[in-house]
Amino acid sequence: MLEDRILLWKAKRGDQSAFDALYERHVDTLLTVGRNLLGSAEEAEEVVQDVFTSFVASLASFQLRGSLKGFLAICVANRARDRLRKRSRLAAASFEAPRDDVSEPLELVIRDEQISRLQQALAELPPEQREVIVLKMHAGLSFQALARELGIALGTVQNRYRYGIDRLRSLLNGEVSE
Amino acid sequence: MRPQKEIETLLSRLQYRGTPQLRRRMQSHIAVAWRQGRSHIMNETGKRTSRAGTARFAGSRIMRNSMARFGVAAALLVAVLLGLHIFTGTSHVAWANVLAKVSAFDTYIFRSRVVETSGPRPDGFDFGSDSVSTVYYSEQYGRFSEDYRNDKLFARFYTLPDTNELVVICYSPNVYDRRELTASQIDEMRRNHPKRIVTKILEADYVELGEDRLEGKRVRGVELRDPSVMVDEGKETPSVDEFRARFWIDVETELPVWVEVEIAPAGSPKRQTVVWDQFQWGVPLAASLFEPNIPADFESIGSERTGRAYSDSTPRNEAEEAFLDNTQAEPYLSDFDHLTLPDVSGVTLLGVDTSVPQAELRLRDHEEVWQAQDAFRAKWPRYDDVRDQLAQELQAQLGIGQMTVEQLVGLGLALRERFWELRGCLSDTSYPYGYAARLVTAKAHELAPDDPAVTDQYVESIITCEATATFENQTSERTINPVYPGLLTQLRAAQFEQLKDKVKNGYVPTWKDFVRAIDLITLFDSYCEDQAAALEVTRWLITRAPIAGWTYYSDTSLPEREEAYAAGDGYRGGLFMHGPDAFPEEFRYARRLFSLQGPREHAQKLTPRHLRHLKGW
Repeated sequence: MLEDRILLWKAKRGDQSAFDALYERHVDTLLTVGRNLLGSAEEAEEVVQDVFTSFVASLASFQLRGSLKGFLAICVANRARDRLRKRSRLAAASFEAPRDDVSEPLELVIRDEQISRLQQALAELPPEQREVIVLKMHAGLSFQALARELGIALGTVQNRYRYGIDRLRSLLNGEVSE
Repeated sequence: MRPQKEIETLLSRLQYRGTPQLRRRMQSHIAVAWRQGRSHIMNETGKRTSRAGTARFAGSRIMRNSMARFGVAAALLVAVLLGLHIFTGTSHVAWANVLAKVSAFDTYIFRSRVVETSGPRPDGFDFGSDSVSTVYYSEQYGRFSEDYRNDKLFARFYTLPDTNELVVICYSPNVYDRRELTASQIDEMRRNHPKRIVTKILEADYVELGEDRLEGKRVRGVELRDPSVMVDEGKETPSVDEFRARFWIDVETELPVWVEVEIAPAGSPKRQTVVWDQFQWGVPLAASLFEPNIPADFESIGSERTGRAYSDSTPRNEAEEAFLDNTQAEPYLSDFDHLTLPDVSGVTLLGVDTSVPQAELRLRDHEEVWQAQDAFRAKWPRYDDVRDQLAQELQAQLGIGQMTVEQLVGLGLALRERFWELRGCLSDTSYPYGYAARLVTAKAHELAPDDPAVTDQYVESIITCEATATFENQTSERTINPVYPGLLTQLRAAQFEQLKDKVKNGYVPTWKDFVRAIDLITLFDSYCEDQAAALEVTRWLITRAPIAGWTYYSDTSLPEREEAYAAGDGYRGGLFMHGPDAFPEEFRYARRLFSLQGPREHAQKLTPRHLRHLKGW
């Protein structure tokens, strides 16, 4: 976290290499969050790029509270949520199924059968449960921080997480058929 | 059934990374955003309607709202609970050792960085400042700091309690100042340094931030969110929306390596962040380090002789009290505040479309503000080139040829307000209104040339649009705006002659007469290079001080001026007017005569520096 603060200080003073370093430190986490929330590599890329672009624009007045990774992940989640809402309004596209496309711009760090099944199971969770699980697991946000940043009660966050994990367990054990 | 832990482990492995092509593509987009967002203001004023310029960080709204919801009370409760937990022994750091070690040091060196921001404002500005300094602190000798701007030494500050002196040596331009330290300045020096902040945090119910890494070292941090802890007994805790004081120690040495304080005043988007790091605890500091070494060719800028502090003035004598009585401590209220101003929002001049959105501007420090103003003004037409067209348009739309003096002045005031609404000299669309104000107040002045209040309106309209000179920096000569040694000097000189005649007939000069005269002295000295004329006006003011109530200046800067002008020298310094705080956005109003009022809201906040206490500032 302190390394982030130092890089932020430098970036605020116009040091692009410091900003590049911040980007390098967090881009994969944010892509992971975006991909897991949206199920689409292309959309994850767009959202993460959008977040970094806006971050540049707001850098001069930006004040870091908490962890930068958590903050950026929340920004990704906000935008992902907007996109999912838009999708549901248009009712045009469903959550994209994972695929082994050679043109996929994102690659799984670990590829095995279990991970592939988990990908599929995660895609089947209600978006609000998926959001809490992904942000907690990949952005390292605590329940308290999630409640604060998402503007919901602590108990709601904990319930979403618990129900989400339970459902994943069921899906992975074949107890729920959709 | 898989246990929850196994699911979580699996989830943590569900990570993606971008392919090299994706990373290159994204970095290229972000590099473009960087150039657009960070490029020098001179290159982007007036044409920044890009996404980078207008985008808002999506997360910030949510963060701010949620922080507000979280609330200080909740934070304190958490702090107390966690603090108790820490004291029961889960911490790997003996914080008592830290306290003992820090308390033992009488000397240390550190780097200080301060960032202030106004926060994004409705008018599209985000003003701020950003300073870096190296500080040498000694409980025996005081505080010595070297301030840097753009990595160059800008000034040295010596705060010396033994001799009760504050010495400032500035390197751009080469000037210095010595003044008496006030009790509050000594108090400020003793309170506002990392050792005290660290001590205060450790003595309070702090929250542990856990372990982290800083430049390869293992560090542990603590945080405090209760501002009242920092306030001395008997003093009021400032009202804040957010306050955080944190520090981290090197786990090996148990000494602080990073201290930071963030403050957001209540109800304001402003924010100040102070970071202290690069500590050298306990390093010996010689007495000679705290002895100001003023180069022989540096020029004094003010209060050295009398040593009276600027901010420690109270009415000390009958004349000063009379001055307060005469002005009701509101010396800058307009003579025309009673006027109902015409609505000029529908007036279109010179074909300028005011509905075009203005670029958002993030301006740090006076240099950026002034450079941006110069860049905008360079794009404006000259007043003389559009005056005739403006006169025709104003006649056609408002019938100015048939207006009385009062109507013209009222229209001038309204047009100036419109100029400031459209962002003054940081705008592509404001200038027709500033120029129009100048034109109509010139007409009023033609009709009432002996009325000093009307002349003031004319002067105000001119300086609203015109800076004294283009931005000066260390590498280029300044170019003086000819309207200052020309028309403005004529107007203020004529007022002075009128004043002298009135005084001969028993008139008692007022504070406004004093301000007009100071303008004239400055014009003679700085823009006409006529020190003899400046000396004459200065001596006149000194002799009138006892009856007119500007004794504060007759005790301080007026005799210094007299001496400088008598020697044929110039004089730096002047009449400092202040609002409740001197935030960098005030630089918008600089580079004009001391009399500048600016928009009404600004004018109502102005008061001479030595009378700020009358407003509780």
